[in-house]
Amino acid sequence: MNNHKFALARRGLEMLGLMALACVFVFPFFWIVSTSFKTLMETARYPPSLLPENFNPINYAAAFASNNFPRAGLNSLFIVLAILVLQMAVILPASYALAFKKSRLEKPLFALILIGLMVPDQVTFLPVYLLFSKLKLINTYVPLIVPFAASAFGIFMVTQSFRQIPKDVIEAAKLDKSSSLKTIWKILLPSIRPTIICFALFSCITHWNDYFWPFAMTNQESLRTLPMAVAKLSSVDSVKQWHVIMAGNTMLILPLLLVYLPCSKWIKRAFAYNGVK
Amino acid sequence: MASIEFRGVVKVYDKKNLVIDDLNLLIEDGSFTVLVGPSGCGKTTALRIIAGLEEVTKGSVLIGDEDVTKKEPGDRDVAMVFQNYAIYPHMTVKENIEFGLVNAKVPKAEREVVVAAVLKQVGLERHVDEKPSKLSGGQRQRVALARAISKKPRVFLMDEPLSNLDAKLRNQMRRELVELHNKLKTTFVFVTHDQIEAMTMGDCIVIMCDGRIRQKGAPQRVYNDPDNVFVARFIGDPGMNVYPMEGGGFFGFRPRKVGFAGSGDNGAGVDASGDDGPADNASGDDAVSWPGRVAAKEILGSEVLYCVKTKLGDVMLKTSSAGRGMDDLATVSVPRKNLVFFDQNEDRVRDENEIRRLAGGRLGA
Repeated sequence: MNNHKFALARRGLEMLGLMALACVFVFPFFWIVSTSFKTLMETARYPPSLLPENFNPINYAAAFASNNFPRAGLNSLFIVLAILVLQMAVILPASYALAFKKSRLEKPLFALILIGLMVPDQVTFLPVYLLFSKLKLINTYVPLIVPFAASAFGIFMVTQSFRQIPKDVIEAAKLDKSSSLKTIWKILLPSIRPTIICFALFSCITHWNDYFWPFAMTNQESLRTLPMAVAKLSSVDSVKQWHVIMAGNTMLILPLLLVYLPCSKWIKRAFAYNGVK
Repeated sequence: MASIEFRGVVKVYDKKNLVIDDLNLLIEDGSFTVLVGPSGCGKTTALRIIAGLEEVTKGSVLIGDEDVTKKEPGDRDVAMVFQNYAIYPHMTVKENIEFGLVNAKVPKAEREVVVAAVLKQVGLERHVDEKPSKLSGGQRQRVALARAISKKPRVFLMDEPLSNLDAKLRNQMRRELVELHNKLKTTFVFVTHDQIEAMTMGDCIVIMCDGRIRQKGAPQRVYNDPDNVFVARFIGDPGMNVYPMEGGGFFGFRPRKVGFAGSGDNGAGVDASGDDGPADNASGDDAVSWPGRVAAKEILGSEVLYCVKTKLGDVMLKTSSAGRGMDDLATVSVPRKNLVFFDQNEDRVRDENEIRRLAGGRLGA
């Protein structure tokens, strides 16, 4: 009985700890949304108010109307989707080959890809920039999309999940007159759906939020992405328009949240995937 | 329907592991041929070579009269059932079966008919639209079987399809597969490491070891008349008792052909596969015997399996009477006519004169 009480108390403490941790993560988002509805005066008040006195949706209109905001949003959407499509087109065949085709090159190639995983953008952007500038492609969508077409992370993840699929299944497909592409599309892809969804989310979040790369590769207003438009909100006037900036930020985050929340269960599954044995 | 022929097939993995060494084998049209042997003997590789999932290093493979050595698996008109079922986990039972038919461009109306027919055949009509994860192991294997049947192949290949099933179900599936073979009259090639499966299902058994064929023949034949020590020991449950002789060579006898001297049960009751009926009282002049002690006793139901320690070594003895207990002194006795002899190379000696020369009182008796 004592033991039982002890376990209960322990569980309670655990829950408290987790809730505290959750607050740490949720609070910044709450603060962004809360501030986005305040007036400029209220954002500067000390001590700050937790919730806005009056809801001012006008801040959103202000953010939306500034800096080519809609155009930037469309740019972001287009770039994120284009990257995703290209990535899939590269990752799936590459992973298929790495996972199922016997070759002496398989191990060194896989190692090379893993090394690629460890190199950050900041190391490669200069040579990439120079390359595209020689090709006269700076200030087009190309340098924003093409460098990400081959994702080392994606190839790594998909190869690993392909390797968990019993080889028999692929052989059975071969005996069923299925071509390699058809096998990927009809047999393998549905089997690793959690991994694909998980990777797609990672990719979308990364490139939606990416500030550095578009900033380095473009200097034309019409090519700018949403994070840059939001960043620009803070540099227009000498007085920081926190309420407008936060409205912009909310609009930046919202699409991601809307996509992420229904998919979160897949992320868990992607890391605990097992086929029908 | 078609025969299968291996002509001088060699398979080497990674340039150094010889898995199959000069395999020449004709699998007859319409036969139920079982490739059996211990793990690593090359039986599965041989099967995969027929399917085209494995390329040969040398030699050629013929299905019917057609050389298929270079053909893609899908173009060989064979169907395979895998050990782990290998059904597509995200597809329903129906979709699993249809996948191959769609790829083979079978029209939809015909597909429906075929799917319904094969599902009826394997008794899964009520599970058409279920996902494999809802099915039991036996049902999954039936789906795999239905998928194979639906293609109406020239050749059925089965790679240890029963080894993941529990014992009862395995027995049942064994019978069903034999029935299926009788109905379809297609060539079946079945791989297993289980000699009981081989003996009960095959009409032709190919016993392999180290990438070579050790004997090929009907189950009766390989049991009664093994070509070498390996086959003698491998076939039978337990296998033949085989011992070295003083002057070189080996002799052996089946556990059913040996009895306890001086008791009613002598030199084997009726042998299930017996060519020569029960032996006469084995303690006469025409028998050899060795004193020993019972070291183990297994009651198998209608029969008892003894392990008797003698100076020959352990003698396995299968009899219908359970009269002896553990540690009892017992003399085992075999009629001479039940002995089989092998030369130094472990190959069978069948020549009478040669046997007489070999058996001249050097049996350690």
